Amino acid sequence: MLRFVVALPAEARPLVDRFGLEVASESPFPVYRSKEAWLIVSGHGKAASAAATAYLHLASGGAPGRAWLNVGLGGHGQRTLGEGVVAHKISDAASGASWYPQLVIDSPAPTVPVFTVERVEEEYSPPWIYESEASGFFPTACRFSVAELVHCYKVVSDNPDATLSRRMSGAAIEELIARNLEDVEAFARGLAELAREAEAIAALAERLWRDHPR
Amino acid sequence: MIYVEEEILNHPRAVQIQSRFPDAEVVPCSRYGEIFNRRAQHFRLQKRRPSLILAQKHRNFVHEAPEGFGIEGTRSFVFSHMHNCIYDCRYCFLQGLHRSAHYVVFVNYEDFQWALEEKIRANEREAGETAWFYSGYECDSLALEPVTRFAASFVPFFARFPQACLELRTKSTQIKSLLDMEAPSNVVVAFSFTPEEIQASVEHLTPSVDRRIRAMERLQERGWRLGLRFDPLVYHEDFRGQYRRLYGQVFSAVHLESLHSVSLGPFRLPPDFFRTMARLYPDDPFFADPFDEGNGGPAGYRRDLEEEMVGFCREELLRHIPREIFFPGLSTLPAAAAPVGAETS
Repeated sequence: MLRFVVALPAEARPLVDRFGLEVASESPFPVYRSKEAWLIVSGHGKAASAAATAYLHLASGGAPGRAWLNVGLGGHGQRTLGEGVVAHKISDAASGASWYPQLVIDSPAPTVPVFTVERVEEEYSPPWIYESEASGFFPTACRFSVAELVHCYKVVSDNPDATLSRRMSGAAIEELIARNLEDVEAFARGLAELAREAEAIAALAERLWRDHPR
Repeated sequence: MIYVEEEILNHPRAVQIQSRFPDAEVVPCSRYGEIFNRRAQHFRLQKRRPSLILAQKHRNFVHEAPEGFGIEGTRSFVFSHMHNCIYDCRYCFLQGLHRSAHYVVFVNYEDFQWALEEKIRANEREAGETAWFYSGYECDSLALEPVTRFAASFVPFFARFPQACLELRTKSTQIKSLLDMEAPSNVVVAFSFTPEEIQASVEHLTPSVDRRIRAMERLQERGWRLGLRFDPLVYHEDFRGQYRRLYGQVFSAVHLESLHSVSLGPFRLPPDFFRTMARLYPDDPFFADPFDEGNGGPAGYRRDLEEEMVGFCREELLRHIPREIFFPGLSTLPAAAAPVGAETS
């Protein structure tokens, strides 16, 4: 029921461990899977994220209505390093388009607007999360699911006191994600439960319609 | 979560509504259509936690009512300051009309009132007869009154135009703003009812039949003109007993002198709305009722059953009220797509 999309191998590692995922394939994208979840490593940028999301949808069987979670890093002008947030609005810097993930379960973290940019942002103004994947991930995942089941969880990796001019090690990235694993897992499982509920409704409707055509 | 169109972030009514929810996250958007009724939304999931969307309406403020709706021989108009409803009635056509369960409130009441005044004056010039305006078409007129202050604004507006009448249609007991003002003779507060067993099982989140009746009693004490809408008629194998008891309850409390009109209406919907609703709630016993999908006409109860229910309820009602205040057409719901659709961008 769960589909994770991350940009970097270091973002993937804590999730792979936590959800007991195993390698499913290595090309064109690294893909991991278990009975309950799939994960893909997209690489950097919104185009890669959109492509990986579409690829994972098909690679995982193409069933609609799954729970999708993009987990990644982002910069913020006011929040502290390592803080987790959930997107309530995603805007694409290049096109100006916006999308609004629909939160119908409790968010494990504060919700914020997310701005998808193509270059590293160090002004952090206005105080949004600045990152590179959400505007590719979200509308693509919504083609295969519904906005209530598609979300972005971001961990603050840089701010005015610690900009990305310093290069982050893989271990540092892993540490930032690992620090938020409890919340990510709770959120992901809540979304998966919601997806199961929606699937059960759709299956029952289908069965009733088939058995008792009106 | 409250979504607010950027253009109206500082609109006094938007500010006042936001102040009712000091802990809510305010998310600015360009147009409400960015959120409301977008593809890939699940009405039933969203209904678990609907958000408020504050928006501005730009056009189509007032519509001619659908054919057959309203009091025969009068011109009827509908208008909606709000899309969707805080209640969750399983038979409600809004579940089939919208993909979103969020509540959109249009805060530019003054623009609605300009449009209404224009219609009222044009109707006076052209037809010279009373025009009726119905506000509870895509929402409950009063359910969100403490937040929207809709009635507090529109009732005094209509009081200025004796050549027009306003019907506020509701299941709500939010009548404080009405009790705080004089009752104009051209405003009718119409309460919808189903029997209490049906209310409890089908009209989720609504006030009980008793509480609605008590609200009507308080309004009649203050001189308000009242309406009764037994709409839609909902089937139960004991529908005769249920509706007989309901009429007994209502008419032992509501005086004939206060009653402007009484109506009843069968459950009828455009077939595609009905299919959407039944697919959203396949596990709901309501959709196990003996429905007929219409074959080109509206979906509703099997016609023989519908006739039996309407016939019985009409006869039973007329034991309590004079025929002059019985207006069956007042309850006719849309058999085609509703005229007041979402104004998406």
